[in-house]
Amino acid sequence: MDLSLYLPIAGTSVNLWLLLTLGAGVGVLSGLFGVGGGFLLTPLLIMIGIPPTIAAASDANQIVAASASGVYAHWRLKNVDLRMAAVLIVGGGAGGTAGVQLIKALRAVGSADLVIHISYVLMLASVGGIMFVDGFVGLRAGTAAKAAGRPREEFRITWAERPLALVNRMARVASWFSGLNRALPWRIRFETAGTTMSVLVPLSLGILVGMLAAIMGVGGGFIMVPTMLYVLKMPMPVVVGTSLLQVMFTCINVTLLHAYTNHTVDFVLALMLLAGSTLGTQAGVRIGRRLGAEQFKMFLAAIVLLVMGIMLIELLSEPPVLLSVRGGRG
Amino acid sequence: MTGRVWVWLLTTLLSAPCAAEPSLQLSPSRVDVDLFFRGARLVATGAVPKDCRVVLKLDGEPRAVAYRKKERRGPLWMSTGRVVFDSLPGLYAIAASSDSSDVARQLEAIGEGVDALRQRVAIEQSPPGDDGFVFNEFLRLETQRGFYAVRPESIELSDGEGAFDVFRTEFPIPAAVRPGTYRATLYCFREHLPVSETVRMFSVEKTGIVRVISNVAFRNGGLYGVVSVVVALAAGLVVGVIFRKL
Repeated sequence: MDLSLYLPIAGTSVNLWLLLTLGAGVGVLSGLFGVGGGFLLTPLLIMIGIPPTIAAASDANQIVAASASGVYAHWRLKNVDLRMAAVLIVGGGAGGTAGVQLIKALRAVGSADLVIHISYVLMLASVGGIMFVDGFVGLRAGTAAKAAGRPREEFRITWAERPLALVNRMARVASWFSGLNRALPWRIRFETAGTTMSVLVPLSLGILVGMLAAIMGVGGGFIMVPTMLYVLKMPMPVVVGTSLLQVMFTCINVTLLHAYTNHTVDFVLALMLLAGSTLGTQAGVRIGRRLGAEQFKMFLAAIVLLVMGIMLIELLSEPPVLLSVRGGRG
Repeated sequence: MTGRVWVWLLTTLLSAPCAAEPSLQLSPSRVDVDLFFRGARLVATGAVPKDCRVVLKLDGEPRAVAYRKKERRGPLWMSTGRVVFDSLPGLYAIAASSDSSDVARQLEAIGEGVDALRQRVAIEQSPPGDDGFVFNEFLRLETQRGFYAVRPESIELSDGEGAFDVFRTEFPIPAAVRPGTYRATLYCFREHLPVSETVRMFSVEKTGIVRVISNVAFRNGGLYGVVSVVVALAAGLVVGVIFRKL
């Protein structure tokens, strides 16, 4: 059935089923990986004709619902490290504020757009690339070990020892990092995450991710998740649960700010997206429980690389019209 | 001097008592934008003296409109600045009974049409650029979005009562139309000269829940934000609880 809904703030009409499907798809990613999905949904909404500022703000509102749904499910599975989430939220808030100032400065010089686009593509390429290689190596090691009937670790080393193997380099970075970590003061125990580290580590990571997120105009879940997985060495389910809590707080903040200062939150749009995404999130959480760590990494990597590819094509190909509408018509 | 003669001639012709006054009706006279609004069709019907050719113009109040401008930087295409078009109507549609070359002459006579708009508009670009190029891009974009259209030979005149021909034509109103007051102007031409001008107004208004949501969002942003967040949190938790029981 062809049913369209008019979006009061965006000031245009959009097919209801399309919104529900988009919401559900992004919800699955959210429950599965602990990312808000803003990096994926906002460009899609712009593509179907929602003005960019309204797409970003309404998406943040929708993510509040999806992440709340996911946090609840992961909370029951004991996958949320509250202490870690609190430190990341504080760091993310500070980094976000700094990032906004940095963007202002770049705007004044006139190169903000270039910096945003290039950092976005590079970020996605490196995050996606590293996760893909790591997931692939792990998967091959697992298959080879099974075939030979020997412990999986032996095979993982064989792969990692190959010259120029990315994983090998990352292992070196990780060991350098754990040395640094031991030397830092204010060590505390993160019970659910199962690690002990200086509070400065997640705090500074929170600041860095918050800054990147502000520059790129997204929630930052897709940067935070690999960071917790690789640098903080947290177990995968806890990464997802904790990230969702952090994403939820970020998006509550963003929604309130946009609604108050820019009037860009479209409640009807957010409602339709969240109807799909809250259900999708629950499905994602359940799929996540059946997925192995390596498959998880490869899957997320594939999505990140896909988004990067689309962005790159968009940057390199001439748009059909060289003007686009700013803001809503409502 | 020639200009003055023309003005005199035009005013004389326009003010001359017409034995047969043209008529114009719009349906609906108010377009309601409710939750299920997906654009509308405005039906214009009317009657004109038999020997007249007809141009019907639909336009919105002129206002400043801002756009993002995209340009090539090295190998990359990206937004590089903004363009503001001062005093352009948000909607501009023309339907006419004549063919395109006649319509061009008729529009020139009344100072309407795309070329007239091009002369009228003030374009402000930052960083500065080619105004003509930007105006063409604007036309392409708005034509694509359904806000700008010039359609020659889209009005068919048929025999009406007495000394009149009657017509009926439809204008598509896109879903993204901006609420406000719009104007339909019927021009009658003889020998490419305008002899009469009939104006009818119609409005586009948000109604019902769409109106309530817009009002709260723009007048009380803080409350709107809190309600949006609370509803989202509640929806997320309710779905979570429901799934727990499944």
